[in-house]
Amino acid sequence: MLTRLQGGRVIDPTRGLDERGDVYFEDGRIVAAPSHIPDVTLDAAGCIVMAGALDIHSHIAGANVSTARLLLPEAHRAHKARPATTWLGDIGFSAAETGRLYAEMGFTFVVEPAISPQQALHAHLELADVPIIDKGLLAVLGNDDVCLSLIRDGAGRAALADVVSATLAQSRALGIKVINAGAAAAFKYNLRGFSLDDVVPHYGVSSRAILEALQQAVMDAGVHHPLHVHANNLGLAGNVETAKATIAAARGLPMHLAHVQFYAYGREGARGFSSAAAELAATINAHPHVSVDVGQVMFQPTVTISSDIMRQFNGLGEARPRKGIILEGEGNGGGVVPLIYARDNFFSALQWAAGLELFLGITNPAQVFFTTDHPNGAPFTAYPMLLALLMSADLRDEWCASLPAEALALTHLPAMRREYSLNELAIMTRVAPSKLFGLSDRGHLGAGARADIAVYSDQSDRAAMFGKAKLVIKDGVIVVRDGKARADYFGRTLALAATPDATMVRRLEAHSQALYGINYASFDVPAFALPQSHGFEDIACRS
Amino acid sequence: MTADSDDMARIDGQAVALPEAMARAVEILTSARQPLIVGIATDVAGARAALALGAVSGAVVDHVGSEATMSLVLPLQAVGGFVVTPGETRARADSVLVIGHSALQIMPDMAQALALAAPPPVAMEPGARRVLHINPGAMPLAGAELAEFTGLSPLALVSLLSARAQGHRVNALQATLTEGDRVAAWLAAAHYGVIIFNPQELGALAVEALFRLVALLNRTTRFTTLPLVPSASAETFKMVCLWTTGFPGRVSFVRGAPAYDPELFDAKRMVAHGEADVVLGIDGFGEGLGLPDHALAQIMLAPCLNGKARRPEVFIPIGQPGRDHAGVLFDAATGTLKAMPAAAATSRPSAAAMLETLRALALRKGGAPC
Ligand SMILES: [Zn+2]
Repeated sequence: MLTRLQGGRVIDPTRGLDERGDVYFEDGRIVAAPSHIPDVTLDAAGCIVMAGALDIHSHIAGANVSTARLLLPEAHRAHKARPATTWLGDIGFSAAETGRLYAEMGFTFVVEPAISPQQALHAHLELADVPIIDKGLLAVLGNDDVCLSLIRDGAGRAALADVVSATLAQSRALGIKVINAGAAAAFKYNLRGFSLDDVVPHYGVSSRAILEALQQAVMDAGVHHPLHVHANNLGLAGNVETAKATIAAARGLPMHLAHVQFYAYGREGARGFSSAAAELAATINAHPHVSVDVGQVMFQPTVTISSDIMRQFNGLGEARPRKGIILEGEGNGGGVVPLIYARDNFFSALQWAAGLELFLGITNPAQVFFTTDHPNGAPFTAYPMLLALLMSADLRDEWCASLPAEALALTHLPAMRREYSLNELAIMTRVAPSKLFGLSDRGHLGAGARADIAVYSDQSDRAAMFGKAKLVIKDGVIVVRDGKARADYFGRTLALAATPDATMVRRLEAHSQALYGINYASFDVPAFALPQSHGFEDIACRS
Repeated sequence: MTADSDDMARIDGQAVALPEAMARAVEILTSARQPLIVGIATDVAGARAALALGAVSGAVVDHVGSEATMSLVLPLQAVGGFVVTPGETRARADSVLVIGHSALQIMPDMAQALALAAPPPVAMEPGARRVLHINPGAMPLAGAELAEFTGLSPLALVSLLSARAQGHRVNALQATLTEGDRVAAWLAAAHYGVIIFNPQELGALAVEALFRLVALLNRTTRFTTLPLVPSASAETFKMVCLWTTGFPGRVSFVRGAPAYDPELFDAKRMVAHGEADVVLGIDGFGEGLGLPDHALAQIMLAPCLNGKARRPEVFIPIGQPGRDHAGVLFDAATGTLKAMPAAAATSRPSAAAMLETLRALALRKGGAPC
C-alpha cells in the first residue's frame, strides 16, 4: 500500500531539505515520488515533517530501573498515599507507558545505556514490553574481573576485543559502556573517590588504562558506536578538569562522553561550585572526534539511576526522600537515589544553566546529543520544554528571571542568545544519532529509509508542538494520531551481529565457574525466552 | 491419556473439552464483582499474562509468596538498603554473617554454592573467610562460628548489634551484652562483609533496622546483604509486576490503572474478610494457593488436581515451566532471571497461553472495565 504524506514542511538535513513537499512510503519504507497514484493520502498541511527521533541515552529498562520503581511507589498517581510532590508522577514508570509517551513525542528509537551483561535477559524482557518504538541496549564492561585481569596481565588488544564481541553477542547489545572505569571495583575495596589516574586495588590497573583498552577493543570489535564513557568524578566541583583529561585520553580517537553537564563544574564563587560549561564546550569544539550527550537537568523531583555505585553511595546523603538502594554485582551493580531539582536551589539552577550552556556553546549540532540522562537529570517527559528552551532565548530569559541570581552569575547563560533552528534540532535528534549507531536507514526521509516519521502541527508553542505529535508513523504504520498512541504496535530490539570467538567463550565459561560458581550460559538471551511480540533486528558490525 | 485422566479440563469435577472449561471460566470471571488472581506460581510469560488478564477483568492480583516478598520490599521502600549477588559474595566476601534458622532451609547448599570454606579469590587481603551464624536453631552452618541470643526478637537482636557497633549503652543481660560485643567486634573486623538472612523470618521491622546497621557499617568499611527469597516464582512475579505496572505486587485493577497497596490488596486478607467473590488460581508448581478456607467460586490452573483442598468450579490443566515447556524464571544462583528450556517437553499448554486465551475471550465478551 502506497501512502502519501502530503503538503508538510519536510525537514531532512541529510538532503539539505527544508521545504513544503510530500513524503511517500510503502511496505514500511520511504519511497521516491512514484508514478502511480497513492492508495492513501495523509494531510500534513501546516505541519512539520521529520524522521522519527532517536534517543541514545535513556534509562528505560533493566534491573536498576526496576529497583527505582520498587524504591518509589510514591512515584505513581495511583499509589494510595500520594505525597504533595510526586516523584516521576507523569511517567507511569511502566514499560507500556514508556513506549507510549516516547512515541507521542515523535521518538521511534531509544537506547537503554547501562545494562550489566548478567542482567541482559531481564533488560530485554522489559524492552520487549515497551511498545511502538525500536530499542537497543549498551552492555557495561570495565569494572568486572575479566576486563581488569586481562588489562593487568597485559593480555593484549585481541583478547579484550574478543571479550567485547562475546559480551555483545551474549547480551544482544548495540555497544559498550564503561561507567566510572574501575571505581565500582575500587569501591568494593573501600575507596571512596576515584580519578583518571587512580588505581584499582588488587588489580593495580588505572582508570585511564581501562578507558584506553576498552576504547581500542570496541573499535577492534567493529562496534559502530564508539566507547560510551561515563567519566570519573561525576557531579563534583572542579570536575571540568576530569572531563578535559578524559577527552585528552581519547587520543584523537572516537569516544562518546555521556551526560557531560554533570562534568561541567568549576570551583568559583562563594560556594566553590560554578559552571565551567563554556570551558568544556570549547574543549569539545576543539575535539571533533569526541561526541557528547548533555544530561540536562530540569526542575522537578526525580530519581537517579546509575551503575556508578561509588558516586551513588556518596550521594545517599542528598537523597530526597531519604532513602536509596545500592546493589552490587559481578561488575558495576547499580545505585538508585531519589533527588529533587528545585528552581530555588542554587545547585539545581546552576546545573540547569550549565546544561543549556553546553547545548548552546557546542557549535556542531551533530556532536552534542539531546538527553536528560532520563531520569537522572529529568524524566524524558521534560523533552518538549527543553526543546522549546533551545529554540527561544526569550523563553530562557523568562525561566532565568525566577532562578537564584547567585547561581546564574556563575554561568554565561543569560548572555547566550543562540536559538536552535528546526534543522539543527533534526540534526541533533535524528541525523547524528543514527550515524553514531551506524543505522543508515534511520534518522532521515530519503528513499530506502524506514518509514519512521514524526509529524508536528507547526505552532509557536514549541513545547506543545513537540509534546504531542499530530501523527507518528512507525514502519509505515500510524502509531500516533493527534497526540494519542495506540498501544498494540511493537517495534524491534536492535542488536549488533557480533561473532564471539569460541576460545574466548570457553575461557569466560571457565572463569565464571571458577570465580562465581555460575554457568556462563546462565546469562544467555535465547529467542525462546522472549515474548512473541518481540523481534531482534541484527545490525552488521563495521567492517 | 485416558478419557478421565488427571490432566483433563474439568467443570465441577467432570472432565470436559478445554474450550468448554475456558468458556465457563470466562463466564465466572466476567460476572464477578471482585475477582482475585492469586498463586501466580509460574514463569515470566505466565506472570505477564496474569497481570494482563487482571487488567481486563478489574482484578486484584497477588502472588502466593508475597508475604515473603513484602518483608524485603517494605523495608527497602521505607529506608532503602544494600544488596549483593550470590556470585559476588562468593568471589569477594571475607566475612559472611548468617542470621537465623531458616536461611539454610532456603539455601541448603549455601556452603558449597558460596564456596564458604575457600578464601575469597578477589579479597583485598588473602586469607580464610570468616563465617558467623547467629541463632542457627537446629541447622547450624557447617564450619561456621556460632553465636546465640536467646529471648531476643529479631528486631531487638539487630538493635542490640547496632547499638554495640556504635558503642552505645544497652540495658540487657550480661551474657547478651558479651555476645553482642563479640558480634560487633566481628563486624568491625570485616573488609567486605555480607549478611545473609531470610527477610520473612526476621520481619520487615528487623530488616529495616538491619539495612540501617549496614548503612552505618559502610561509613567505615564495606558491608552489604544477601537476602534469601524462598520462592523463585514470587521473585519472578515481583520483577514482571514492576515493569508492567511499576509496582512490586499486590496490585488492583479495579479502577483500570494499577493501584498498589501492600495491606489492602493482600489476597489472604481479602478472602478472610469476604472482599472477593471469585478466585482464579495459578499453581504451576503444585504448591497450593495459600488462602484460608473459603467458599468462593474458584478457577484453577495447575498441572494436576492432586492435593487440591477443594474441587474448583473450573480446572484447566497447564504445564510446569522449565519442565513441560520453556520459560524464564528467577534463578537464586545468579540473582536474576534465567531462561530455562523444557527439561521434558510435553504438549501441556503454558499458563501464559491459557491466560492469554482467557483474556481474549473476556475482551470479546466486553468484560473490560477500561
Ligand atoms: Zn545515564
